[in-house]
Amino acid sequence: MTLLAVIFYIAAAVAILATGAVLFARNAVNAVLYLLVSLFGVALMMYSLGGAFVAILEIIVYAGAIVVLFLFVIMMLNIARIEQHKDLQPPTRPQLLVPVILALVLMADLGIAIYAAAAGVSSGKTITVTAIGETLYRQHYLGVELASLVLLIGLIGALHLGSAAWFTHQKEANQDGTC
Amino acid sequence: MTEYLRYLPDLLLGIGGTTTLLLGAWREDKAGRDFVRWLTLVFLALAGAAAFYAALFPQGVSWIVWTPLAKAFSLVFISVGIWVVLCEPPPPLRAGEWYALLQFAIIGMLVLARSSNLAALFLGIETLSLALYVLVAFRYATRTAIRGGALYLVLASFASAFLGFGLALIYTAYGTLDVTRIMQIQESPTMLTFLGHVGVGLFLVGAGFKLAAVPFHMWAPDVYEAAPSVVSGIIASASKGATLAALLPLVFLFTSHTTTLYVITVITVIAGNLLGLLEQRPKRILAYSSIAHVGYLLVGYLALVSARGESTQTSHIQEAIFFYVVGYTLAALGAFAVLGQLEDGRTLYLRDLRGLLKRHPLAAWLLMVFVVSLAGIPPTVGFLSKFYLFLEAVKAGHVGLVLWALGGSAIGVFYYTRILAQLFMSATEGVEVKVQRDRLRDVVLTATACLTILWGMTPHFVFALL
Repeated sequence: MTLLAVIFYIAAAVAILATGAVLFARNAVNAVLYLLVSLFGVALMMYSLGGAFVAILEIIVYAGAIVVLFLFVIMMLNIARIEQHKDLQPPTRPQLLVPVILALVLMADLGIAIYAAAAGVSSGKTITVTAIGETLYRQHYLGVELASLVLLIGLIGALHLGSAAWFTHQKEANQDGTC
Repeated sequence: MTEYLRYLPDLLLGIGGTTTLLLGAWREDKAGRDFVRWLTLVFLALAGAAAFYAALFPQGVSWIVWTPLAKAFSLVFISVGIWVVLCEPPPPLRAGEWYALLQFAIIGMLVLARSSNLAALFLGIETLSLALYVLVAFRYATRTAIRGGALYLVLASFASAFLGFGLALIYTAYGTLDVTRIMQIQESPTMLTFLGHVGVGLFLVGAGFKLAAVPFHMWAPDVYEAAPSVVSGIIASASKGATLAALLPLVFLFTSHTTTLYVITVITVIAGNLLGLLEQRPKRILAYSSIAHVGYLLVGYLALVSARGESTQTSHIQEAIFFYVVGYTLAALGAFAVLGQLEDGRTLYLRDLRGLLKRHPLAAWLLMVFVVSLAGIPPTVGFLSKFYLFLEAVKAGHVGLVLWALGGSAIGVFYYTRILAQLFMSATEGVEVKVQRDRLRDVVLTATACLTILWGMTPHFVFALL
């Protein structure tokens, strides 16, 4: 087993454990923290396979933007109700134990990765940013466009369903007696 | 540059969607709503023309392929869009969003109809369903609308998760998502690995949810009931037709899964018809009817799988499936639209249909034609398309399956008769159902009913599309 395979399997184990913990976490904030650990694990897996750029994207986009957004939403949505809900309390120390252990294992894994990089071990095929760009925008541009369309539809839907326009319309119609 | 011309219909609809979205936000009065409506119609017509000619441009390496069948399906889906725009007056609010989402949904269908790559299939399904979630809950001021939209969102996302995971496993097994390359690998002596089998199974579950085939059908009646009627019509007909069109080039994936498909088909045909018997609400009956029709289409699909790529037989079965989709689309869209006229923002029960023949003869006659076509009784297109499909299935050696399907349709006739019988009964005292009249809709529905009968006698007009 090469050094990179060791890195891969440790990261994979951490990712699977953390994802399982997401499912069974009682506390929403805790679940999001586990998800964060899982995404870092996946990023390391990508790195060990030669996809350094994808690994960085995984951390910046998923861990950095999306999960932190989750955290903000969870924390901000129910500010008034947090006092009453047990599930929304900040995690206690024993609850933090497992994520901390998982994170420590990941850090050790990252240490091995840095050591491997310093020792000049590489997977042989590194996927460059240029290669990704070529594949995405030359061959699979339809996918990029469709994905952007899906996002646009999601945006329209969120805006539409989030507005109160139909409720006010319904009220007015009821008052007029036409509906 | 000509490379991009193949995407002309999608580009036109995309431009149309964003334009109507912006214009709709700009003016919300009657004139503004009508303007976006006609603008949508123009863009749909342009996309239809483009789809007619885009197939002529060079193919090249890409995610989509313009086969004659794909072209025919694309034209059908664009026509469905035009039909919906003509038939349904613009919503009193947010007309821009309504038409934008409609056009985006049609882009999803077009991508599905032409996909030659499993990733395109996935993204097409996502585009289509995401637009439909919002359309289902479009008039979200009622509790049912929100419930229907949320139900559809949760279950369809669940299905997408299955589909996505299945595709990932198929990718692990074959190293590609390109359909032709998977087919080449499949034909070579290397066996499909275990992971590949699991992937195909998960893919089947995801597709089953989208088609509302029986173990995965639970969402259909609730969603159809909650959605605006035209949207129910789209989900029942065009959305399923698009999913099936995307599955047509993939028959080779299922050659070793025929037993599973067989079981799903039989229970879909039987359960879809049996469950409809107990319903009291016509929209739910039509939902179960649409489940049963998916079962009949799966009979055709199974015949396609056992044709094993033999070219004449394959093209015959594909034509029969196409004809069936067209026939079912006509009848289902029409029937849902007539029920939509009667609905008036509340739940419709069978007893509300009583005496319709006397009070609103046009609506009653239209509903009768569509329901007769759904039941598969001559001289409608529903009979002939079913006849073709089952004939091809028998030729492919699926006599037992066809017998099951015939048994299912025999049960089905019973609940269609229940709807028809209500029309002739005398009206219940005190129940007065208002019909929302719209002259254009009456014209369009009458034309659809005429086509339902006409194409039932002269099917070559439909086959000319191919």
